[in-house]
Amino acid sequence: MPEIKVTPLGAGQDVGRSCILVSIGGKNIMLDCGMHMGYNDDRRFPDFSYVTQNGRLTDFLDCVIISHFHLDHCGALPYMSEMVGYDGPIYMTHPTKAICPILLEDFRKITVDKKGETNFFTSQMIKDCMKKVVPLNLHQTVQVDDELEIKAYYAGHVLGAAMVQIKVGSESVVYTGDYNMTPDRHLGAAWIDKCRPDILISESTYATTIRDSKRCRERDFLKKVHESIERGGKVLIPVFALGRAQELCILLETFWERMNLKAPIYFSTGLTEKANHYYKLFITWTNQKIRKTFVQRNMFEFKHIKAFDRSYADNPGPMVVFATPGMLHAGQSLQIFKKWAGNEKNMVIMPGYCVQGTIGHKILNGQRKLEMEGRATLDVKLQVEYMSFSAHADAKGIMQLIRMAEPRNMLLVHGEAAKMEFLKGKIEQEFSIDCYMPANGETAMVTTNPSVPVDMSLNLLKREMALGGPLPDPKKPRTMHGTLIMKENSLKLVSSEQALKELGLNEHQLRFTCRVQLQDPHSDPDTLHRVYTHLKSVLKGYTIQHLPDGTVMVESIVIKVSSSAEDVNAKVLLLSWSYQDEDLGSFLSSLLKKGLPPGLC
Amino acid sequence: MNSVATTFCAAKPEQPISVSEDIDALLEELLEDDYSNSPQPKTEPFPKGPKTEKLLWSHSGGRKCCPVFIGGSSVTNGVGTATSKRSCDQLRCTSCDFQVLMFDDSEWDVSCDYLFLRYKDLHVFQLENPTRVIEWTSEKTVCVAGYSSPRNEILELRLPLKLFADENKGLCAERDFKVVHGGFTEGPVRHLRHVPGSRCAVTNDGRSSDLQVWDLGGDDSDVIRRAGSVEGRSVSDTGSRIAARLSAPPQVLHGARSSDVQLTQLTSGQTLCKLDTDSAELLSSLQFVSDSVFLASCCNGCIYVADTRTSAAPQRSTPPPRSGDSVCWWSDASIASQLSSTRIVRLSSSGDMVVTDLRNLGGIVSQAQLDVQTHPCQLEDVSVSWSPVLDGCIAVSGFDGVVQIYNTRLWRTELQDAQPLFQHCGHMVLSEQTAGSAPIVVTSHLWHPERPRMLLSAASDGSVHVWDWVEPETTGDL
Repeated sequence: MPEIKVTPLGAGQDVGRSCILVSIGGKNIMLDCGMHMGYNDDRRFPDFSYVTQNGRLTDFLDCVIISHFHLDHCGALPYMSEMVGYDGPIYMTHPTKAICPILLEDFRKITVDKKGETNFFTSQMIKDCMKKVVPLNLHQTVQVDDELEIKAYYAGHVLGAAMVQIKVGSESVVYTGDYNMTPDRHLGAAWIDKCRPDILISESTYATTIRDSKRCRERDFLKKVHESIERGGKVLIPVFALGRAQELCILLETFWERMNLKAPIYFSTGLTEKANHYYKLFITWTNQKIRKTFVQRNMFEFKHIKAFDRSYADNPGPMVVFATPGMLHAGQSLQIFKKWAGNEKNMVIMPGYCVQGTIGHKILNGQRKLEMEGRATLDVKLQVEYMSFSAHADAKGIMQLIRMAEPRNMLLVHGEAAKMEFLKGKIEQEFSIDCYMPANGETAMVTTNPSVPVDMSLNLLKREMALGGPLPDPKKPRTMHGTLIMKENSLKLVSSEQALKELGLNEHQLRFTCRVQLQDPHSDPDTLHRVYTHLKSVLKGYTIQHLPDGTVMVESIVIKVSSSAEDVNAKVLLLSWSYQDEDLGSFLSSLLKKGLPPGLC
Repeated sequence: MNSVATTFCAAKPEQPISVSEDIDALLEELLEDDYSNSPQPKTEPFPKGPKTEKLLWSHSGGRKCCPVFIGGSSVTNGVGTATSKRSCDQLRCTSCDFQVLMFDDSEWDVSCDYLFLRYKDLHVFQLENPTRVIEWTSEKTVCVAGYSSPRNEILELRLPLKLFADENKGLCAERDFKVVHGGFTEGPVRHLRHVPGSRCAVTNDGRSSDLQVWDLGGDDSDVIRRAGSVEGRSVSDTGSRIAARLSAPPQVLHGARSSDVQLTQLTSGQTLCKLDTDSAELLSSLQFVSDSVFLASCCNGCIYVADTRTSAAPQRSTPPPRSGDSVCWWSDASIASQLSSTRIVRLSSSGDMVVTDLRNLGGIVSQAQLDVQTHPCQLEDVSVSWSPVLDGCIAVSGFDGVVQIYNTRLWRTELQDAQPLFQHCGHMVLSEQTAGSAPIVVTSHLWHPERPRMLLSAASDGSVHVWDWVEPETTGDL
């Protein structure tokens, strides 16, 4: 039976460095190629040696698909394509293609220039890698080759995030990447049609979580910012350049407008500005409301939010600054943090996750004294607030997506599987489908039942109809004879004569003959007659003929008698039958081997 | 509306009123998909607005109101006296001294949840299916279970960690429920009790008197499994009430009518004792008031007090007077504290609330007529409970979409109208249900055992709120 194999190299019962290999209909596809932000050793990148021990990946992969621009989904891409070696196509959506290299370059700078790591990909490698990218549009079916096709669906989560359907013949797999089933301030909700894939590979980050309402979250955020501004403090919001930053910008912008607040809001130069530019460019990827109001007012054209200059940090009075990077490990956000940390009126709001070892991680753990370079210590007096705005589907969202797509099997990745037995049971019970949660390096195998279309010749069909009654009964299988011809990419069923003719072959007949020795003290014709009588009594319902030329025919099986020269009583029965009558022929031979009953006249 | 404003000013003096109100209005606007045609705000009436005469001393102007009346703009404004009841038009905030503004013929927009202001914490969740039960299973976890479909889920949820972070609350971003354990039930779950000191819960489907026993699961698994069942004694269509106490091996007290109440050991199924009475009144609740003394409260208002250690006949109290027109009574007993002995509250479907002392069930300590909708849609949704910490405070829900908190210490032995100390209207205000569907009813509420003002409440639309309200400093305490 044909199978679809799914092997996570990363994100199997784990969050970070998403990388999933899918083998479907003879094609091998890599879904996402992410890095783990928590490590800087071998565990940072997926283990590509699983694909091949030595040599390039190009020979083993038909294509690579990237779901969205977060580094845990695309961070290992230049490493894979340039350092391990892959020259095949890499598919991603237009916004992902635009934003991905910026983030990769930013990350490379931090790792190589700031931390001084070597053996990391270079700027040139990122450029070379991006040359291999083929952009995808939503709902556009792209033929990777003659058999393999892919199609992208909207996934919410971040700008340009997509779910992909991979299809080979009638077999298909849908990979969700990260997705969000509820629309947020700048993005819409994920959507897919009833495509009934053989496997739905879904993330499950928040599968065991019931989310507090977005409203309560946002209200707390605005309240915190406002409180701090009111008492004359400065608010630093270290952000990851894209995603939440835009959402928070829209929120603050509108709040400022409404409240008629005068305190300036800045975002750090370069990255976020560029990112906002991308949002404007890819307005079609945002939510309905932003698209609808775009003509009157572009939501990303901020009135109150201005570009930041490093000299502003020392300005007196309250202000709000969005600065990158989001984990306070380097760059502008760290510089501003150092300046403002000493004043308890100030506040830093961390809107996302921080990797161990970063300043962000330390202050979130309540550390109040930080060791900086040059043995200096920094007293953290400012208020630290941690808020999570990440947008993933929760259990309800996962169920919703299953209802939408109606998959035959479910596979969960990007979540901690140890505690997901209940969800697995829930999916299996509610939809009566199997649910898999393979660990990294483990393979989930799903047997598929693809339908194979076969053309049948009209002649053959007519002949069969004549033989076995009028119309074929769809509920009853019927045996028929014909020849299956596989030619080019089609299958057809024709009568054997036609097949011989088409293929220019001669007909051959296959006959079995067998000799059965009997002790029978009669003349040859008498023996034959005895055989005839015996068979006549045993095989009721068969045509048995005693032909004048000294043979007995049972259907098409020929029986002859001859006696041996030495012993007149020893008779030899000669049986001969064609291949089609094998069943009857072998029955007859074993029957006659038992000898003739004595009472026959 | 004005009383809410005053309440707010007293509670949150550091913010001018407009700020937070605007945040919500803004959030609301941003939530709306299309605001191109929204010059006219929706002005649906705020269904349960405190309508009230709350007494306050006014300090402004030459003449002072005496007593002070607060009312909506439909009431004539001016200086109020005992004879001409006018609502005061010179209110000022007791903390910031700003004047309280009034707008004629305006009401709070239903979607404007200015109520946020009155909470220290408010978390709003949406379950896939509504629950009628909320029960503590440990300090930080509660059990909920569905009742609306043929197959339901029973879930053990961990409360948001942010609620429990006392120091460095800002550092805790975890504000979600975590499903720590979950399981499937064959029928609806109408009643659920956790057996203290065990990982065991007992449920009833509201259709028979049989009980289902569940193993809530340990650290190694996230699955709640069926662990057995207990057969009830009567054929009942209202379902069994269940009570549990700290006991090893686990035991539960259960029954549908006063005649079939029994204490059963869960592991062996052995009946340990029975309530000795001939009458077969429908029960509204069962409750242990001490290790061995329990109450069996009946729907007709009478209460049996019995002791599991003796087989003597139980003490029976008659229904409170004036119970003729009431369809049903619910009750709850407070945990005896140093301040007072065990108090029992009885609430009728017509809104009568009577507080009695366990030692003298015939006498009335205090009583009041509550400000509730007196024709509850679902009798089984009504619940009344004593606060485990705030002395004399009672929470009432199930009549409509709000949870009300009353302070019984303000009441006297004569019947009077009572105003709630606090109302949680969030289930109605934040509901995403469209107009025309069934009105939202609070299906259950639960006090936090230690935090004085923290409650959980669930409603018929599947929402679950965790809220920690801020006590208004001036409550018109006389």
